[in-house]
Amino acid sequence: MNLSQEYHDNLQRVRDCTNFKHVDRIIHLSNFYTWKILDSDRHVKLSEAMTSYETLELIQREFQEKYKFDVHMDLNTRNLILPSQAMGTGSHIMIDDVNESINFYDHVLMGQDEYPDYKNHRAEMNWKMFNRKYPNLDKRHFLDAFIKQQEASAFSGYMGRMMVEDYACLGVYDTDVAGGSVQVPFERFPKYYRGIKEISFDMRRKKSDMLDCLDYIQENEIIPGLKKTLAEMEGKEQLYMADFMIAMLAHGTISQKQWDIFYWPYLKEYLDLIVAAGKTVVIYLENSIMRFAEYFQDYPKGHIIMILELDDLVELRKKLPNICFAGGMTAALLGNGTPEQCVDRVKYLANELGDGFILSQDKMMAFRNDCRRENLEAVCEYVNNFRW
Amino acid sequence: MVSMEALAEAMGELEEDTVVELLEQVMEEGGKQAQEAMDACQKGMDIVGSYFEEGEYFVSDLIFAGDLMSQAVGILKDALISGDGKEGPQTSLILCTVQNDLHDIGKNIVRSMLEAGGFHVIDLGIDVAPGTIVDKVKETDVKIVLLSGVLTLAINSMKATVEALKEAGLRDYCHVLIGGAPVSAEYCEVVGADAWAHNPQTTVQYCKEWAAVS
Repeated sequence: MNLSQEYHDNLQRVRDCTNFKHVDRIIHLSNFYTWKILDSDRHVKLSEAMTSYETLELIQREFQEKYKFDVHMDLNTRNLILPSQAMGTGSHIMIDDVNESINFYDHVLMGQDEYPDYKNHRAEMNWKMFNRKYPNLDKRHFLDAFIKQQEASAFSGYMGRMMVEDYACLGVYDTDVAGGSVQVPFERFPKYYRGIKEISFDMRRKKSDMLDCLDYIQENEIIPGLKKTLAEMEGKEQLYMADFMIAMLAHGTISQKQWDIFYWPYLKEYLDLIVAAGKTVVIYLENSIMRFAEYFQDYPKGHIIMILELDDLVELRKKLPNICFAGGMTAALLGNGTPEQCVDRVKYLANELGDGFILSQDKMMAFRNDCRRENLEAVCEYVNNFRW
Repeated sequence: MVSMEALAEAMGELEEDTVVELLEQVMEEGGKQAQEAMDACQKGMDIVGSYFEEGEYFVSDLIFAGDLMSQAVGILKDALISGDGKEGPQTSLILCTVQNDLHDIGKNIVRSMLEAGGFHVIDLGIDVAPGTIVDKVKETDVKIVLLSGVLTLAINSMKATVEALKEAGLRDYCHVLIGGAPVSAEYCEVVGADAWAHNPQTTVQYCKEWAAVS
């Protein structure tokens, strides 16, 4: 990749911010997803945009040229639907052009007694779940989906390079590194296979089977993968906002007792390895982390960036003076407030949080009323002209 | 004779095997204690609620508690139907996930806690249009409407529902509460609701206050 001086300057600014060093201006991270399509003057339907890589690229470019963010969580590359559509009937994505929304059918893909099979017979189990999710899946559909997935991956890679080379925008982490984004083993069960309701039963009724499975995943997949990635990174310069990313959602439904058993030991092992290697990690947090803030207090500054959703950043800062925060601008305000109120919110956050703060939105901005264009324009104008 | 104290405690501690065992014993002994057992289970749900408020339990525990309560009703139902234990009139209310939102876990937790708190819940399900809610309010004459949602998109539907209630001349007679991950004091004002809640205990508390003045 051809990295400009501007890119290196942006990279240094983010590194300094992560390390709580004073930076010259407010770093602005985009948490905008499909709202970008709705905001576009191209006036394309969601269903049309989501199936056209050319349109997605143009919209992403125009969005960046207009608002000038420093980092993007999404490059119009999330939920690329063509591979899923190619899997045949039963596709679980619903695009509603009238209400301008994307929804998903809920599937419980794995039975409560199948934890041992997931652990011991993964390939067979994956095929079973494929067929439960896509009941009419056959070889032709699968091959077609495989090709579409290759195309989607190529598009994602292209978009990442394009944002770096044409706009000096930082990637969040290196998406070409296989172990760059990892989830705690527990996450995959409520998120993908069992659902929140079923997992609530499993933690009590199938505790032993679950823990066997989580241990197996951690010991045989997560930790070896992480160690391999760390070895590959040795001696190489970090060229992204962080070296790793971890997404957390399932913590939002479990008790502290369950967190201590099913979640934290696995996450801690992961974070300890990253910090010991001198690397950085972005933790993308849905829901709130306030209940578990104490668990992160001992990590030194400069290694963890939390992207926050429901937490009050100023309150959380009292518990976590060691973690760089991203967030603070609410969708409630962007969607319903005035430009003046939104700018006042930026001033408040910058004054209260100072160093170790990246401005971002508190939701994955997806729906039209999540944000008014004039509010985002006012925020971006203020941020882009602001200097400490 | 089954110890109702032990049953309430087991329910509160979410000890499924013990709860089921004690309830089956009630039925094996002829079901005369069925209403008493139901009351003990509801007392256990109050303990669950207390643990939730104290931070000991969280969402997954409430989901499990709801399922355990459903099991309890299932075991006792034959005896409860044939029994002569008469309860006083319950306050009815409407609960649903609003239009364009398909999430139902939060709604179902709230339903369980409300039922355990003695309310008759008219659950309209998910993705419910404002017009459907208005029609149901007219039909049932309820004075409490609870609107749930997870997506920020749900805020629009909540607002549309409150406006539809206004247009139908029902808003002044109904208390409206919005609940779910995206709601906040700001969104409560935008929607025009009377209250908002992130957790079921707060919702139940509001409903009890409103039921008392209805």
